[in-house]
Amino acid sequence: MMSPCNHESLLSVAGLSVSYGGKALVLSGIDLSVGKGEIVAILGANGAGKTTLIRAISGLLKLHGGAILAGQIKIGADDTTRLAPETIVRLGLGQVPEGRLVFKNLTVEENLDVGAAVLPREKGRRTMAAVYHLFPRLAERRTQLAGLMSGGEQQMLALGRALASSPRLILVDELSLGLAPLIVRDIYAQFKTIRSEFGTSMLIVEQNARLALDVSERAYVLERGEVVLSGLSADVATSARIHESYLGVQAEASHG
Amino acid sequence: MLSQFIFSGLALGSIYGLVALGFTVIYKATQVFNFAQGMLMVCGAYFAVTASIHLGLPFPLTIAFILVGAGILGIAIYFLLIKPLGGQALLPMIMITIALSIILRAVIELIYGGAPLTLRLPLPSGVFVLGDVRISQLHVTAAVVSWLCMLLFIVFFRRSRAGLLMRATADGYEAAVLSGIRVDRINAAAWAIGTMLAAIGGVFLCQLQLVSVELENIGLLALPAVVIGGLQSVPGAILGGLLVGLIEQLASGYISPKARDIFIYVPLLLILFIRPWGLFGQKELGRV
Amino acid sequence: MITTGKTRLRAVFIGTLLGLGACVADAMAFESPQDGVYTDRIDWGMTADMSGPASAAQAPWGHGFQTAIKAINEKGGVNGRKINVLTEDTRYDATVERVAYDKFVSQTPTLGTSGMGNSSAQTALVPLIKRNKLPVIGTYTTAKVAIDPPTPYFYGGFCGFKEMAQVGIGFFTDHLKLQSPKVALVHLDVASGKEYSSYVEAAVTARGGTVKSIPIKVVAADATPQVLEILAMKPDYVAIHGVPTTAILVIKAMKQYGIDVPAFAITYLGTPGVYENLGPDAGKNYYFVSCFSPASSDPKAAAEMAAAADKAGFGPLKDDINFVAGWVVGTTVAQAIAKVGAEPTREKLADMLNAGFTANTSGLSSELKYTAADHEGLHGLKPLNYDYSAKAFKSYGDYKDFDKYLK
Ligand SMILES: Nc1ncnc2c1ncn2[C@@H]1O[C@H](COP(=O)(O)OP(=O)(O)OP(=O)(O)O)[C@@H](O)[C@H]1O
Ligand SMILES: [Mg+2]
Repeated sequence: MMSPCNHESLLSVAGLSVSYGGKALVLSGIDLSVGKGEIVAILGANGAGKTTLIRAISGLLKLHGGAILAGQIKIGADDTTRLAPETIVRLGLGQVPEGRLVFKNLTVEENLDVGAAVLPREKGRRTMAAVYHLFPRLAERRTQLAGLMSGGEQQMLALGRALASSPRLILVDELSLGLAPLIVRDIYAQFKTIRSEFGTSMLIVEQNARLALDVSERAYVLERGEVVLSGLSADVATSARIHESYLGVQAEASHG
Repeated sequence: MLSQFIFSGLALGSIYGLVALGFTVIYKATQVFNFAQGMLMVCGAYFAVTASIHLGLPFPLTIAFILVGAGILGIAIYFLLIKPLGGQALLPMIMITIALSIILRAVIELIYGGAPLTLRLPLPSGVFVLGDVRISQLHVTAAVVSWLCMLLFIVFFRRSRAGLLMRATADGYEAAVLSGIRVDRINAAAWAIGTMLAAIGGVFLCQLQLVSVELENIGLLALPAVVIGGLQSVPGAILGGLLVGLIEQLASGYISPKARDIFIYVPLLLILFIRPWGLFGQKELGRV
Repeated sequence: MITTGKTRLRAVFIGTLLGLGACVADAMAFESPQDGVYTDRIDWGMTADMSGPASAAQAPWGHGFQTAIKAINEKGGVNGRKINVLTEDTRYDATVERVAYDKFVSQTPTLGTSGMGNSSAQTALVPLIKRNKLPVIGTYTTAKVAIDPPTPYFYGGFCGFKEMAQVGIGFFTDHLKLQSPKVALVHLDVASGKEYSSYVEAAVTARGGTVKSIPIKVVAADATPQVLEILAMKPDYVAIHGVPTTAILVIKAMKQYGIDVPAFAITYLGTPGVYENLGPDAGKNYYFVSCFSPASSDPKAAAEMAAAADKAGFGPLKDDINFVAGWVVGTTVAQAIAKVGAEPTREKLADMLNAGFTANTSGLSSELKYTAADHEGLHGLKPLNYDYSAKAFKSYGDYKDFDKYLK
């Protein structure tokens, strides 16, 4: 297995254990890292703990009644293990949450404005322009209420809002959920552009393993709260284990 | 006669609308159905008493004192009560606000005594005569100031960055948090604004009558106003307030004072049956 | 506590001995603890809403009562005994009123009690007052059922609604030289408001006039609808029943609509607070009828009360008719106890009042007289208003001048 040592580490998670309401561990001893400029995928079946991991990183666990029991999370040089989410955002973390939480009663432009609000005004304007450039569809629908847009457009908007804060790293949780394959592919196609234009690293949670492995350099596979497999995406893709228990089923489902 | 009722109804309704708007701001931000809104209004009247009578401040400083006092009160309520106890179901939160109003009433009675007080602020008190219609200048002032405050709030809410973040927070708490919004500050600001709007209403009501904790009963007319107008709707609160003021005057004038309650609460029930989201509220935008 | 028969016997024996000893030592020192009477003091109950919704009016009343008793105690008390007032704050709650009353009957027995300013509590307590034989002397309000017919042991202490209506209507009809007065009556839509309305109607009809009864709510935000009715009716004068806010809203709205006729209110609304709120412009046409004289309306009669009020720290209250009413009841109670003699009991106190008792209220009220047939006490009233330039209440004659209107 190859190590990511050729990348400077942007996110590092070490020995992370999490539970909700003090019950059984949902994550136990997770080690994970994302390097600067890297796109990393997290794969795993329903209930494996992917979303929980994302929440732990972004500081949202408490809101959902969970807590970090052990381990450390660092973004760059900062220990963010116990920081509040709004502080973590200011350290350069953007998030596209599960279930595309856009502000439904705000217009597209206002949604992006909120995302850019953590930046100085001038810089905010520039990143918004870049987002519109990346997703012309959002520019067309600038004044439309977000709640009235299609699912794919909302997902685009959620991604755009995360990018508007000009993050160093974005977490994307199940972007494909409930979307037509075509639009999913459209959005995924932009990931590499995002990395090159915004200089953003990405941690992508995805059940559609084939899609995720295509776009990412490295991948981790979670099973019942533990990392059972990790390595270069190409290697993971060829791993027999994935083929049998996971990739096959998912690939069929998403093309079916 | 009719035009007279309409004028005084609109004047009173503007005050109700102002208090109701304060209620809606708080409700939108923190989902707290604030039964203490009437008492917050009363606090405004007593801030005026402290500033004007006890401290002997000139009128402009009295206004500043009321606004700052109300703002601090709202922020204190948020951080001491709503935030620590927050996130609970609607009913416990309602109980908390009822307890709050009882506590505020007791504190006021302890500090100021139970007896109503007279406060004379240098507001116009004469009468405009327009043909048959006679309009109290105090009514006009109350209406004009209320409308200015409401306008100011709408501009703030729609046009400023802080207003945008407030709307975003009201729209979705989790999304707000992960967009980096400092939700506590926004919520505290919402409580401050809600309390300030109520306090301004209280200042006018105590000029129309006495400074007394019993004014709470009038302040609580803001509740049917917001339910009729739509809990989540800013224009709904304002228009609901106007509607309640008009209904009050017309029903008391043409039928009897008792009829007022029927004409306010029967439409309220009808609205809850037919359009639970209120006349001007909107059904939540569907999730895709 | 559990006592055996033997120890109880011993206690009774010792008690009797001690009692005998005391009698031998001082044959004059009468005691009757079950009546609240001790060698050196008499316990007297007082209930008022000192901090609740009616405290604006009743707290001054309570202070007036306490100030009167304090002044009497400072002069040596009554027949060598100090009067010890047991105050209960009833917060305008009928159930609290009942508990306080029971307490004065037997737990901490008192010779009598005053106040009871909650007419629904009074109405409910009438049967108990008859049975428990605890004199209730000088109530802040007088429920009709309590005095008509007279309830034994119950003696009122405030101006009656019927007399307010008769004197108010009589005076204004004559004062404005009206043949058949047109009167607008604004009143609360509660029991006492309807009662008052019926008295006003009777008084106006007796003068061949017409009356329009206009209800208003206790928690009204505005009196525009009521005043527009007044405007449409064009009355000769207006009568007002309600709480202070009622008077303020009605008078201010009358001013707004340019209705320039006099208005008179019930006694309770004749407070300096209402006049202060109305201001000279609106207040000059506002009158009230009262069986009590605010200090400034008759400084000579009020001299003693004013001095005592200043001394007790209630100086600003002496122009409040509620304070005056409390003072009058306090002095009346003291005089009644004094008249009963050195060995007062509840029974003797009531008998004495029924035999006929007139209090000396030194002109601070109209004649206060109880007989077996009349337990109301006060009947006469006079109209008053406030002279803003002199900063003093002004009365329009003597109480006696208006007795002719009483039926
Ligand atoms: N708020 C919560 N409180 C308690 N348990 C939770 C909570 N959220 C998730 N869980 C539990 O934690 C485990 C991991 O859930 P998580 O949502 O992280 O899985 P996931 O990998 O994201 O699944 P999916 O692919 O379905 O989104 C599950 O057993 C789930 O039931
Ligand atoms: Mg998930």
